[in-house]
Amino acid sequence: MSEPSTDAASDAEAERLEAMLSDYVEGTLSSAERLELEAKLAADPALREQLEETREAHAALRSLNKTPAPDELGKKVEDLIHRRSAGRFFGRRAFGDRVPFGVLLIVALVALIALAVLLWSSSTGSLRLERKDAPRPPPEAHDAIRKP
Amino acid sequence: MSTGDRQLVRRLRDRDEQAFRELVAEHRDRVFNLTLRMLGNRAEAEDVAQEVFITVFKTIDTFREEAKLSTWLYRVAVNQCKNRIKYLARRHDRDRDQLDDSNEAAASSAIAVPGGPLPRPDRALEGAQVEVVLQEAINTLDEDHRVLVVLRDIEDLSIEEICAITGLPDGTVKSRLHRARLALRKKVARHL
Repeated sequence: MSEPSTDAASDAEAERLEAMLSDYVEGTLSSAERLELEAKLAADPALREQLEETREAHAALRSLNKTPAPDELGKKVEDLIHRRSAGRFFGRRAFGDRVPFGVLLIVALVALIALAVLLWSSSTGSLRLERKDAPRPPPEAHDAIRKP
Repeated sequence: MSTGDRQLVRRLRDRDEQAFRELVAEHRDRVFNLTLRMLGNRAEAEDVAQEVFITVFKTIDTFREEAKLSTWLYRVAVNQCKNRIKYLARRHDRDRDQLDDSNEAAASSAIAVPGGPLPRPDRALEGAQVEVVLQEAINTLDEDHRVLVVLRDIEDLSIEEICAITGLPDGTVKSRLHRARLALRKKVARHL
């Protein structure tokens, strides 16, 4: 039994040779590698046969016709999207779709705080606390209310 | 990614219907040809091509703009095709089991023709039959080999693009491509 490292090395070498054959068929092999491969091909009839077979397959595949998509493909996709989204998919997205929820929350909090400050500082605002230096009504005013 | 692609992606993210039409118009033929060659069936190919575009629109927000838009589109198409191949294989197995059960009696009295009628050898690779024989051979290739011959030899994508689509290293793509062509040649030879 061979050592695992030897197996791995031979696997890597086999993969390299296959990659070179692929490049050779496509005419993209570098000149140094081409010379190396051609030397191997000259010495190995089985490798030559393999090369010939892949060449044939490559040529046959490249000769296949390109089939255009059916005319109505785009329309069908559009209809499908409209149907599945109940017409909500297209069109500019709503503000809430484009702005993250966190940002909306922060903006809402800032607006609430600003409103609270405004009401607090307003002389007629309902949130204003009674000021200590504000003039108080005279005690008679209370008596006037209590006594009919 | 090109500036044009970047603008198109931005418009797609804004759900611009015109951007959608532009994307479909530009890629429909290549996507359909890819699905057709991967699946070998026109109706299935059309259905999967539709799903590819729908998936692209649904997931455009997840597209990271490191790759080309077309590379991403092809990756979606390849994945959809692989899923469909698995689904069809499962369905085929189920249907065959049902057929086996129901036709057991009839089959016992019939004359078996293994593999069905073969095309006449002298005509096997003539005209449109080249197409049929090759497509049948592609259909029987294992899924990973099929993807590579379709992307490289039929769709003419570069090795770099194929690496980006499949996530495989350069050397592996080329070596598997060689094995795939060899396997295909052997399958086609049976029809000669």
